[in-house]
Amino acid sequence: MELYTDSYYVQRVQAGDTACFACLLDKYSRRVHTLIVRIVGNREDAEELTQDVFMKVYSSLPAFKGDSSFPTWLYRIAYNTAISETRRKKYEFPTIEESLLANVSEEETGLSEQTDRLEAALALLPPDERAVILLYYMEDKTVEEVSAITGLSASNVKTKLFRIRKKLFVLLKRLEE
Amino acid sequence: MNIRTDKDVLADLFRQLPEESLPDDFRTRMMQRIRLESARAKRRSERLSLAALVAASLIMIATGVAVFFHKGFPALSPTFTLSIPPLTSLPFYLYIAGLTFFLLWGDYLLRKRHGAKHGQ
Repeated sequence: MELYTDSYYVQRVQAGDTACFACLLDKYSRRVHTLIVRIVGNREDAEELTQDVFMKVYSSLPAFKGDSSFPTWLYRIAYNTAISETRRKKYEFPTIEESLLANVSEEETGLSEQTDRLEAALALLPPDERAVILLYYMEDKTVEEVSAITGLSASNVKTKLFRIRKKLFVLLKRLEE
Repeated sequence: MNIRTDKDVLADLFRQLPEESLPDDFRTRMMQRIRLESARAKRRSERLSLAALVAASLIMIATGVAVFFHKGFPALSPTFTLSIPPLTSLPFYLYIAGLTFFLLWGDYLLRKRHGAKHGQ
C-alpha cells in the first residue's frame, strides 16, 4: 500500500523538499529505464537517458500544474527523450535485426523462448512504433494515455496499435519458422 | 476497434518481459545530481533577485535625477541657513546602530550554520 500519492511528493518537491524526489525515483526509475532500454535498444545509452529524463523532470517540476497525471507527464518526457535520441543517433535497427535473429536460441522452449522472440520482433519495429506498443502493453496505459504521452490523436493511436499488432504477429510467426 | 481483449496473446507475452535493472548506486548518483541542480537553481534565483534589486534601485535613482534635470533644481530660499544639530547624543545612537549591526550579523551566522547542518 502506498503511504503517499504522487501529487503529495510532487507538491513537497515543488515546495523545496528535494529529498522527496527520491520517492518518485524509487517508484518510477526502473520502469522508465526499462521503457527507454527497449526504445533505444542500448543499455549504456539508456542509463544516461534515464538520468537525463529525471533531471528534466526535476527542473520542469515547478512548471508542472497537474493538467495530466504525474506518470503521464513523466512518460511524455521519457518518450520524447528516447525518440529524440534514436533520431539524433540514427540507430541502425536493421543491423540489430540480424544479430538478434541469430541470438534466438532454438534450444529454449516455452515462455522464455516466446519472450525472446517477442524481444527480437520488437527490435525490428521502428522506435516510435515500439514505444507505442510498449506503453500500451507493458506499461498498461490506455489509448487516451498513450495519446497524451506521444502527442498523437487517440484515433491515430488506435490505428497504429492495430497495425503494429499485425506486424508483430507476422514477425513472431516468421521468427518461429 | 477493441484492441485489448481478454484473449490477447500479446498482453500475456508482454507481461512476461523482464524489467531492466539499474545499477545499485543509480539512486545515490541521481540524488547527488538533483542536489547540485537544486543548489545551482537557488544561486541563480538569488543572483536574479539581486539583479532585480540593483535594477530597481538604479531606475529609481535615474528617475529622481531625470525629474531634477527636467524640472530644474529648487532655488534655495535666501533666508535658508544650514544648521548642524547638536551632537551630544551621537555616541548613544552610534552604540544602538553598532548593537543592531552586531545582532544582525550574529543572526546571519547562526542561520548559515543551521542551514549547512541541515543541508538546506
